[in-house]
Amino acid sequence: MDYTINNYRAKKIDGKYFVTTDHGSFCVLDDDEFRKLKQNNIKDDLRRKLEEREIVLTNNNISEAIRLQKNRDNFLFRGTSLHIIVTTLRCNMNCIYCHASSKNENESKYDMDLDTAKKTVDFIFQTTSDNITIEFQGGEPLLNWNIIKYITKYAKEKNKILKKRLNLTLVTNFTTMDREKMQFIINEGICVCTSLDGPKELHDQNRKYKSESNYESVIYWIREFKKEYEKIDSRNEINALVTITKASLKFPREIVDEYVKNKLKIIHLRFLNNLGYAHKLWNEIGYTSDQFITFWKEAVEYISDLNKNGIKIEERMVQIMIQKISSEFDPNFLDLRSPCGAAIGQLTYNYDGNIYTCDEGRMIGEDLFKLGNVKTDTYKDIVTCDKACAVINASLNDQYYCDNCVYKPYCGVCPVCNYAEQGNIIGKICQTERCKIYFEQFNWLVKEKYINSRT
Amino acid sequence: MVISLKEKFYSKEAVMKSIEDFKAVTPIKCVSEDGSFIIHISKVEDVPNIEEEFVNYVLALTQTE
Amino acid sequence: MEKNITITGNCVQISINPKLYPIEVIYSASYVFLDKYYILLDEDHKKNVLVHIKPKKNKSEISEDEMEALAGDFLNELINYADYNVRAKQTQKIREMLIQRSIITNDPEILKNDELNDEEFNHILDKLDEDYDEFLDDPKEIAIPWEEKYGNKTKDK
Repeated sequence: MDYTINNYRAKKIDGKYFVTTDHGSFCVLDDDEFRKLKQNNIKDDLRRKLEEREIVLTNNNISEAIRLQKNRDNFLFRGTSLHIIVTTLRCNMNCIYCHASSKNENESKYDMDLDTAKKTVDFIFQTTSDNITIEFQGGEPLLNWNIIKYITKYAKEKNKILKKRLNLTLVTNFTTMDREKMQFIINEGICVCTSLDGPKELHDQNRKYKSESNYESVIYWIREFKKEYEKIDSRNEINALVTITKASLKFPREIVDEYVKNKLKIIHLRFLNNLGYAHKLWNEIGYTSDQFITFWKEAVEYISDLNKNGIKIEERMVQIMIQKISSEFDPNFLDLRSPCGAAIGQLTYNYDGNIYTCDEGRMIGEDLFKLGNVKTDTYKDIVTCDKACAVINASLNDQYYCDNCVYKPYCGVCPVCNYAEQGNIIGKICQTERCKIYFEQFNWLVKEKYINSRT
Repeated sequence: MVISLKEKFYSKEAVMKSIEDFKAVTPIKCVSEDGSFIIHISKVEDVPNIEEEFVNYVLALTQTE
Repeated sequence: MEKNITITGNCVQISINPKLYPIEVIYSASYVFLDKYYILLDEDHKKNVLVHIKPKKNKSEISEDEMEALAGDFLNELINYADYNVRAKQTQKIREMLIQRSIITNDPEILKNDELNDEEFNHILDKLDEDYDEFLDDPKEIAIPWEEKYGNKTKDK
């Protein structure tokens, strides 16, 4: 026999079998083909089909399987690239699901100071990654505007020598945005991301801003930024994120329409994590995985209909999942990766210099995911410490129920979410809401884009 | 309430870890007898099937090991 | 199949021959149901594994048909994991080889380490090549198609 059968996983969807390998190649087989694969009765066309996807391995394609495995795992050797800096925990809004458990806007003791900012940037540039993305978060990061300016300038100065591919992004609620800040942000090439939860009533219900409407500010500044980008012919886009609460579930189309109305081409329909304030108010604002999936399916099917009518909008998770399935290179979406992004993909630096495994890790409200501090530790200390290794290990999906799941090469586990839901970083995966949601999202996508599109 | 778990199917480490975790919720203790773990667990008003939840908990930990 | 399944009230008891399904397969199948059911593993006097499954929801909400379907689902999960167990063992060597080779060709430290000289590096590759050459061996005749292996016996019947 001049071939061997590679390891594979399979799932029957709509009468066909979706078959995947460890390195992420996939194949769609009908009943007869799958039966022959199970019986090892592989000849002619079937053999060619399976060999093309390295489900059958021969001397001719073993190198290709190795190459694809190498590409899929390429992120393992890159070093931490996403660095989230919490410039302040202060916030001037009261979002009902705030994961960051933000503080009152008058409490300036929760601001990052200059010395901490400098040490944070020095720490960041110790990364072995060629790419650095610095993301300003909070609270509301603009409340500590001087530190944002300082970090931007200092990071660029350091980069003149170190020559990394440096990106800067800002996540803001726009309430304290003004023209001067906008010009600085545009001139320095800082990408902007805001929250837009849907039409005005829904957005303002989720994201309470004193006695005013936050929706008005968000829409105003989205349009102003777009105008400025057009003037200077910039390729930068303003991005927005939506957080889905119980109240949102009734309005999938209206939420999508809001994004289309404001010419936002990407919408990321994220499920609510059970962290921060959301955890305390879960009974009021939370929902089950089934409820979320019903909402999500209606929204993405609506988006498909809009696309057929020439309206350009995409759902971010669909984009990411398609790239994971169809491309040999991982899009490096840290939530869907094994191991996950904790420490080796991202690090979060709190206002006081404390370093956490990830943004979710700092939102737990305890020190469980704290790895060290920029004032006392080096990058090497942090990414190789026992705690980082334990969290990374807990995120490997080889050890779980995931090992028999057809979507294993494309999926990931979050130890922080396991801990938030079940009190243990080693989770009972099939019982987590995350697993149920991702599983159904993959099922829908595979059925729509890979099984039914072929028939 | 008394639960009997065969040592053949449930790992000792999983049983011990589960007992540690459940101690915070209810009085619980364990003895080993004739190839089984005999677990004494008190009822909890807010958790109607706590003994069954405990057994599931141990099984999940055993499987993860 | 019925003799292996006993339904008493809202509890299903399934009797499993441990020679057919190793304990790790029973664990894996049980794990799938932990979300919605309570599961207890026990043993009878014939050393069969007894799996007791009880739904978490109220007794009055479960019909006998649903309990039978539950038992059927559990048996199907056993087959699913038993099959996966067999495949995992069969492909263990090839999986290890693919991962090893992909990592060694990916790790920049190994490739640019001055202390790892050509001789050592070639030794690592040679060792991997031994595994690579062996991956097409088939001592247990697993790769022989079913018809080829058993076809004549069928005709003899």
